[in-house]
Amino acid sequence: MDTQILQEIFPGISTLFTSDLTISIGRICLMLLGLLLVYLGKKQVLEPLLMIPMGIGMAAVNAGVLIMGPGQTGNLFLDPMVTEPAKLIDLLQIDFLQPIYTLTFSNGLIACFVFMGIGVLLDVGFLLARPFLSMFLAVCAELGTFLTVPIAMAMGLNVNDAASVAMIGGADGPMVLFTSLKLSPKLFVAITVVAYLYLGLTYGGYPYLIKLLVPKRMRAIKMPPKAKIRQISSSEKLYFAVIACIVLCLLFPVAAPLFMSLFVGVAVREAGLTHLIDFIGGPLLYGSTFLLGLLLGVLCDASLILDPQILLLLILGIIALILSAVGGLMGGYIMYFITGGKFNPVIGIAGVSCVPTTAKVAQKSVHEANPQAIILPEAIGANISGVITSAIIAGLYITLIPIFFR
Amino acid sequence: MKILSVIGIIFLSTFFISFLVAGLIKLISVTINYIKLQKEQGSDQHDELAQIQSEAAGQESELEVVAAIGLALQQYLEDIHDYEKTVITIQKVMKPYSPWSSKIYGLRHNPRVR
Repeated sequence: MDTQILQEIFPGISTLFTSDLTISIGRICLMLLGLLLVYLGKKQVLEPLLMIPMGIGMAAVNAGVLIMGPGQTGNLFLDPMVTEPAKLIDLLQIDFLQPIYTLTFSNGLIACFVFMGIGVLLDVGFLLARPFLSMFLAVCAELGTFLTVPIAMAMGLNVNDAASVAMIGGADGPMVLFTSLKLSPKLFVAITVVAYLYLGLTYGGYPYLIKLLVPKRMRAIKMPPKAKIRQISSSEKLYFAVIACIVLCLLFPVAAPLFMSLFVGVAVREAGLTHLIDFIGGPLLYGSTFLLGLLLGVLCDASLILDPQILLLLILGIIALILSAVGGLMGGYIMYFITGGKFNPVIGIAGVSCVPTTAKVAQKSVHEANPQAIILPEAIGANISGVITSAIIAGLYITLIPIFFR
Repeated sequence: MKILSVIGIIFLSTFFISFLVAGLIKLISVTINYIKLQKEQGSDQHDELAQIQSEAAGQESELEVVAAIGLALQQYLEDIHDYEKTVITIQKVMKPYSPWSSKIYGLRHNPRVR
């Protein structure tokens, strides 16, 4: 049989041999990485809700490559780089994930949906009980978000790309997506993919960092019970959500969709709208997470992701996350010394706003050192504050950087 | 150098805004607690009033008893007449004759059917 006919019958396999060697090796590596993500998701090492669709998407998009014309390859999933309206209309009718990408991902809608779901799951009572402590820890845990910007610029990125990649330090996926969409539309696919990959890694990596930086004696500290535990009423939480939303939207109109999404979730929860809580916290959140994972996987097309800057982004992403964790633990140590050794410094890492992963990681690490120590209420408070500070920093970056670097 | 200054500004802004949010949270808590306290005080006053009313109601029931006793006493006392002469006298009453009151014209017999 003629070779060309064989190539046409099995384009997925034939393109592995006919396309550029780097791309072919990249495709094979990404297919294997996809399988690894599914495996690690199944083993609960990485976040399975995100990693399983992402792994499948990554493997499928690199396997299902078609010959689209002479010397041209493509797929029937989506094309994130298309900008020409006529071509976009064509693709919306051809690529099956293009409508979801164009109408929910590239405008940040899916990030807002996820934020609404997070809002519904958040109990801001933990934040309201200790607002200054929680906010202090959260600001400390943004160390990576601040320090990665000059590091990235020193490594050759421009200020917009540097700020976008630095947002990985906030460990908040929707926030990274939103910031990179606004500041660096050319790199936003790569930055978002790197961010979500690393967010999965926090679950597996942070416990080791805690063990490395906090001795067992300190990890075992039991938090003293509060002399007077004040019950936070749902109306108090509702007022907070509404007022905080208005104030933050007034301060940062560019990040207003994210603030609104987060606080509308909180408001729905506190108003006790059970049908909406069930919808937002169930089908909307899980549907959005599933589609987000799938899209992130599909965006890992070798020809797209093998950008010369991807290695740089991978390095910067891990630097940002490590610095933020170190900053959070530093905040925990500061509180430990201020309270005369009564504060468990591990709580600081929960300021990294990967809700609720980092709070769970902190509690798990403390539990291993002392099964009777419970730090979850403080950790959740810091965690929620982390979401708010990440949103504040995203708003500041999107607003101030274009002003200072015109 | 410029980037470090900008990052410094952004860091300070974040710090300031975060504590502004924390202060806002505290303010909301304080305000809501104050309102709650006021409501509780209001409800305390209400409770006090209710207690007074219930006490008054209790007193009212006592007053009813008093009123009942009073009425009984009054009725009892009304039945007591002035002391009268206990000497019984038979006084002859003169009655002039009149055919209008004569017994012989009175209907003493049942009508008979013949």
